[in-house]
Amino acid sequence: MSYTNVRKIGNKEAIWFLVILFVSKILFADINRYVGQSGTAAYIQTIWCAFLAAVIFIVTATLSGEHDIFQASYLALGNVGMKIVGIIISLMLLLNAGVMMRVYAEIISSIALPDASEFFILVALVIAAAFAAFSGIGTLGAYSFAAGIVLVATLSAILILNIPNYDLSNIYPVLGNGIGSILSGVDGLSVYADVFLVFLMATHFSKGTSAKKAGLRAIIISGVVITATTFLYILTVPYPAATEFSLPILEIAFDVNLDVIFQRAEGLFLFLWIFSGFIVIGAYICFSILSFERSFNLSDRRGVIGVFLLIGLGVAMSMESVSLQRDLYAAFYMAFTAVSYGLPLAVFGIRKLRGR
Amino acid sequence: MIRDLFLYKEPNESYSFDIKTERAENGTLPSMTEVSTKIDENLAYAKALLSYPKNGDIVIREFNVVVEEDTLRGFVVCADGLSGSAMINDNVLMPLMCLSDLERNHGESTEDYICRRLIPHVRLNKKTDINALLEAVNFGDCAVFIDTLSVGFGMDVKAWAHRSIGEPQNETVIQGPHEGFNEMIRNNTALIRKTLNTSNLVMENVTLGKTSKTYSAVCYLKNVANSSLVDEVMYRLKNIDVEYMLSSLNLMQYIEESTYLSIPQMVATERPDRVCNALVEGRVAIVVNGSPQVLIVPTTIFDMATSPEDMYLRFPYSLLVRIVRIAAIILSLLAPAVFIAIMNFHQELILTDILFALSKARSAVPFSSLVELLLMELSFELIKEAGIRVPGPVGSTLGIVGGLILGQAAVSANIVSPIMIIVVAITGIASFAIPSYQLSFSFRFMRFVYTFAAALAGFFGIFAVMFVDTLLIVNTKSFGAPYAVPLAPRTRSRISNIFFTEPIWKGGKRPDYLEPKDDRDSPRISRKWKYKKR
Repeated sequence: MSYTNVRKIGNKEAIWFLVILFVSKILFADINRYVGQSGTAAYIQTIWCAFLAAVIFIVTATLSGEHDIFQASYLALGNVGMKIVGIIISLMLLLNAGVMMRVYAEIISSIALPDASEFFILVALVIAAAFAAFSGIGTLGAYSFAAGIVLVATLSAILILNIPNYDLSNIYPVLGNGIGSILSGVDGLSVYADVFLVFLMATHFSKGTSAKKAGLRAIIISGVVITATTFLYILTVPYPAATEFSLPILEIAFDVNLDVIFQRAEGLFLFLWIFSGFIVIGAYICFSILSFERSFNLSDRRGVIGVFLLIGLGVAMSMESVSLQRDLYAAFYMAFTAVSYGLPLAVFGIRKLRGR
Repeated sequence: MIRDLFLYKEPNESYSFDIKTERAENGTLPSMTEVSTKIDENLAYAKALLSYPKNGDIVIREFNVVVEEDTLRGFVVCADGLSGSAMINDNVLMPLMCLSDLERNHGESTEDYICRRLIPHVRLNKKTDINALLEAVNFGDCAVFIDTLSVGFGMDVKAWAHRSIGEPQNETVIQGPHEGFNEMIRNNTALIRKTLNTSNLVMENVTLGKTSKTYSAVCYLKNVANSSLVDEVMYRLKNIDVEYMLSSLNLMQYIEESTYLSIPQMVATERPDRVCNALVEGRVAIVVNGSPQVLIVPTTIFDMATSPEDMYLRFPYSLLVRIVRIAAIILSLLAPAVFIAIMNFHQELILTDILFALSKARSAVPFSSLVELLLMELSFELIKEAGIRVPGPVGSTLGIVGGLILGQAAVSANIVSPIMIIVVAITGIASFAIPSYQLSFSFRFMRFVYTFAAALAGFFGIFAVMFVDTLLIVNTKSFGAPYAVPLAPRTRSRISNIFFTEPIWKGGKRPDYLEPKDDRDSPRISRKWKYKKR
């Protein structure tokens, strides 16, 4: 029992927090990317990507030892090095939060609030992110456990309600565009890029929580969910038509014929989209602030929350057109993936080498 | 009068009174902390402190005590109406005035002689602090002072009239005990002690309020409750700097973590069985004199949603009731908001037939669905608020007038649609199914927030408020225990238990987030008769 406000994250909470971050990606066009590369074998590519992500993660986690990325960068690169690493991570997450805000707002505006201004939605997202940032990572982690289960259950509900639309003949040819296209589809690793966040939250872990265990289990659980969803999407929409939809899960929700009070299941998708949006944006802002706080030894993070949120909002509003926003999102997403896997590996690797 | 028309008359000066500025002065009261050996000093101080004879209910009776050859003066102070005259006559005045010429044992002091042989009262305190003795008079004690003695005697002779132990007003059950707390602290502590019947039950006394000195008791099982939790409760109670503490519901606001959160962070119950169950789990109860509500800490939001009757129902019924209650909570909070969101933003989500029916029902109503809903909700809140205050026999009339006549008339006049009446009625009924009165209050408030959010941005607005609301709940703590535990954060306690029930013999594990000294309240196999060889 603790009478202070510092809340620690347990194993299960860390796992579900990461699961939300991973699985929220398939609400975007990530399933389409798998289907575009591997055709009807997209679900095999998701397994392959999950496997690769797990391997890279295990290597990184093994190199990390007991240190988080800030401690490791301090040991490997000194104080200045730690500050540079901190700034890179902080900026990367902040920019990502801004881009995500715009993407989420754009979709909410188009599917739920066509008459509302996007700025209004962005402001609502910023307010929600502010609450998340003030609550801190411990609370967000605790929240994610409950929210993660609810979100995965909602996704499962959409998939279960869609059972009448599954057509087994859609999985042929089983190997889709061929084994080569499956194996070369490593850009699908981007779905699990957020796993590096476990190396940031080591100081927030409660006793007995292991970054390695949490990250690996999160990849496995998400891998199962993403593979199942991709497989069921292929069963619902035949290839190559499956590559045409920018929001595959929404497409499945559209196909569901509820016929009891509600016609279809878009309401469930909306719930998934909005809730995951709040958590993802809140998490990016939170970790961006955490990274800044750790790098510069801030005694109180609350002072910078407002500034970070304003920068995030500024980034979101700086994208003038939808096409610019999509291009920027795609480019940024790839850069984010490269840094997410590469930076921890490099920092922990250098620390290990220097340690010898 | 005719003369007044022609002759001037000085106008009458109208009388007016204004309160003059004044500050408290410590002037006239003589300073005294200890009982004096001179009876006149004690008497003068008692009269000054208790504003005697200005205070009509304060009684001071002077008498003489004969101790061997000496005749000592004495006086007794009590408050009429609070103390029992018969007890004072039989246990104080009669022995002191009539039996005081008994032979004294060799070497026995006057003080011991009076205390051990003359006053037969069971709750007798010997004190040197004159202020403590005289202040206790305000709580039904009497104080006795004898000349030449440097101590006074305080006796508990409380005998004021109070409400008898009856059925709880706000937590009625069909099955289970029907005893409820009343306003007397000792009645309430006695109800707890007789139910638990264990020497491990500790009831630590605390006084709250500098002026009111309200008696309170912190109750816990010393072999179960976490010591740091008990210490924290005592620490918070002892560090409240306030003049008056009139009720446990006031106290709640002084000791809770997040005052601005709409959801209460501790259970206030009128049921001894609920308190006993909480104590057995390792929680702490706070009993405050003058309040029939006993506070239980720490509390989670899931405790708020449970009814004391759950313990007494057979497992399947209890399960069914819990499911109904969860539905009630969701409906009472979200039904109007979802209706507004669908009608204003997401018409495409519902079946076309239902949409046509809704549109047809609303076609004659001149207001937007939000205004319509607010009108109905306001009327419903008015009926509820008025219903609390009207005398019993008028209550049913108010229900008929408010519910049937106004509702029917409003529909006929096309002010509201029938579907809106259904939505508001379902919401109202659902809010009555929530077992905690305070939680249902919180939901009443949050329902309006959700409704406005829905009117502003449909489902997006609802989910945005839901995200912030649930995040605040997860972020809150009740005396060290996270408010949404064991769900968020996840602990070892079973999640299924918070939503559903299981057969009572399967329980036995205390909530782990309370960190009790003993993990279990009963062994893994409690039904030993089933496995024991005869």
